[in-house]
Amino acid sequence: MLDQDEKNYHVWSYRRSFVEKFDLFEKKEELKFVRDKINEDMRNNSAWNHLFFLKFGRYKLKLQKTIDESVVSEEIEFAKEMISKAPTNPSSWNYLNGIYKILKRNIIELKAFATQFTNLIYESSVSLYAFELLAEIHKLEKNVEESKKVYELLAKTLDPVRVNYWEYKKAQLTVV
Amino acid sequence: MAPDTTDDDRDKKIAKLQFLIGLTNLQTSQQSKSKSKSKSKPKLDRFDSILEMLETSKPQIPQVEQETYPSRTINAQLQVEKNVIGIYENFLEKGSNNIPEIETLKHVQYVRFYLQNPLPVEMLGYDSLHTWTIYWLLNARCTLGGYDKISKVEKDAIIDKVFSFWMDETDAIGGFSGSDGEYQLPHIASSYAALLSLVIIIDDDNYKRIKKNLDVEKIHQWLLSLKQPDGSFFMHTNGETDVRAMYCALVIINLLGIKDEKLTENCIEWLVSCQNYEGGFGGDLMDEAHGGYAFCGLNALLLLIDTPKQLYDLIDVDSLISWMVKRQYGMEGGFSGRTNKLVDGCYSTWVGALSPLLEVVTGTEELINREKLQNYILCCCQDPGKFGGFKDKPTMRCDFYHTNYVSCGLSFCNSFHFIDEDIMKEDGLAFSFKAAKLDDDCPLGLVDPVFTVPIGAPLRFKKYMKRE
Repeated sequence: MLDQDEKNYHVWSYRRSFVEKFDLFEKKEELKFVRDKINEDMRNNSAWNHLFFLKFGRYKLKLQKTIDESVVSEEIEFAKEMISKAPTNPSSWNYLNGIYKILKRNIIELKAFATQFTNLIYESSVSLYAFELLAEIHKLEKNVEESKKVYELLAKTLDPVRVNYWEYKKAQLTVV
Repeated sequence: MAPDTTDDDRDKKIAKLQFLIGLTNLQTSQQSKSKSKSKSKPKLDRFDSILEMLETSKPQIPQVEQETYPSRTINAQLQVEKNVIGIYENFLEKGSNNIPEIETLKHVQYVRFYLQNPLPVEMLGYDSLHTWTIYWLLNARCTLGGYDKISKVEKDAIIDKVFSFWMDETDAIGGFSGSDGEYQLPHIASSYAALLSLVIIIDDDNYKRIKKNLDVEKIHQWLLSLKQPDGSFFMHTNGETDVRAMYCALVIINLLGIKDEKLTENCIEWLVSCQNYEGGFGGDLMDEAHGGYAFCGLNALLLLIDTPKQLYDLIDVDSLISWMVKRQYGMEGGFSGRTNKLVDGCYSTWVGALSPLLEVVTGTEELINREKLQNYILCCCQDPGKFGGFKDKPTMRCDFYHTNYVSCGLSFCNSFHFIDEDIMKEDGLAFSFKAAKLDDDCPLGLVDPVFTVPIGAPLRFKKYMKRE
């Protein structure tokens, strides 16, 4: 069925419950299958979600208390590599942000990486996800003015369809 | 963009803000109607808005990626962008007087025809969706402005039809099934749709009949039998569990006034665990974030909590908002249901209803871009010919499901919602949403973003159920 529709929700959901039931999180074939799917189509978000489940599912399901740092850094590197190939792909950005979110890691360490994709001269590598991340980082660094500038750029120039959202984010900066 | 547009935009925003401020002092949406001012030239506005969309939006996938990493996703996205741009350009060429408006009349004709006539044999595939079919058509008719135009004859026929799907073979099981064929089981989603139809048509004349036919105690026992220890609900006996079943069960529980500790036990914990790393909700723990499940997940929570602010203690509201706004695509204007999927008109409700809800929760005026969603609906989801109905995208055919959820989405584009604090305290948060039109000339009815029926109908139904 995945050959016909690579993003069939129920097939992926069933596959996920199968992995959980038979504890196939670290099964090599399963990992290869899902990485192949991502390499075939980097924008197959269902595959990204499945990879996230394989790598962080046991932790999220409280089946294990910690995650090996080597696994975490490997996944961060994988996401970064895929972002470098296709900087506007939301799937890989969400994967990267998702790792930081669930492990409560400090996103400030992504500053140099994100800045690679905010140079307006290189149009094809400009990513609004990088700008969004950068605005969050500026906020954490208590540099509200810089953060505000990023949101204004997104609202007015880079992403006008979401003008209301970027204005909302900007207004949130001054809410205590 | 013309240089004077910014001033014009600012004027519009100020007018809207004044309207909003004025409204908070008013008691009901009915009263507010007379206060609101309609925009002077909606046609010209939409022309400018489409023009702006084409001028400011870039293709989602840069040329370099298209060439270096070709994929199915890229091909499909490029095809949709090409179709949609073609349609928008075509309308722009015809000039500002030919930008499509909502063609209410032909949509009402479409809906009424299928409500009043037997379905054609080609629709055999819809057989397990009988209660849904009734709800989709009936609710679309209300949203298209016919809420107060449904006759007694029609209402009686709907009551008869809906109750023909009632099943109670044992003492402990009582619910609605999707079809009156053999081998059917009572099903939570079919029961949800059946109940919503009754919510829409209940009145002084028929409420006693509805109450007499509706075996609330059996439904209560049946739902208890479907309840799982982790908090979730089976969709039917030994069926699947997902966020949809949870939402539908909670709608039924709230409308029938049978909320108890056993039914709501662990619901919140289970729902919260379905918010995934992207910020949206999946159907089950760690499934992919999806518009339909996000709608069900957020609304299920609103059916369980007392005040909107409690949401902040339960889920990551900011990442839900961030995920929600990313569903809107700049070039098309419509919503997709998942990351890197195509726009589809039905998400005008599944994602579109999240916006008014989260605007209320955050106290924000507007989160999504209503104007651009409306462009997509009017230009790409209705056929230019004489046949009515709405569809997923330009290359698709109209169907009942899309006709309902696209028209609800269009109503959300033309309204904003707020909470009546007194109702919230008395009857619960989920029943307290009220709405007002942004433009008085809009012919559409107002829609409740939690129950997706005409605004005010759920509370009225709840009160009838208590009446002797």
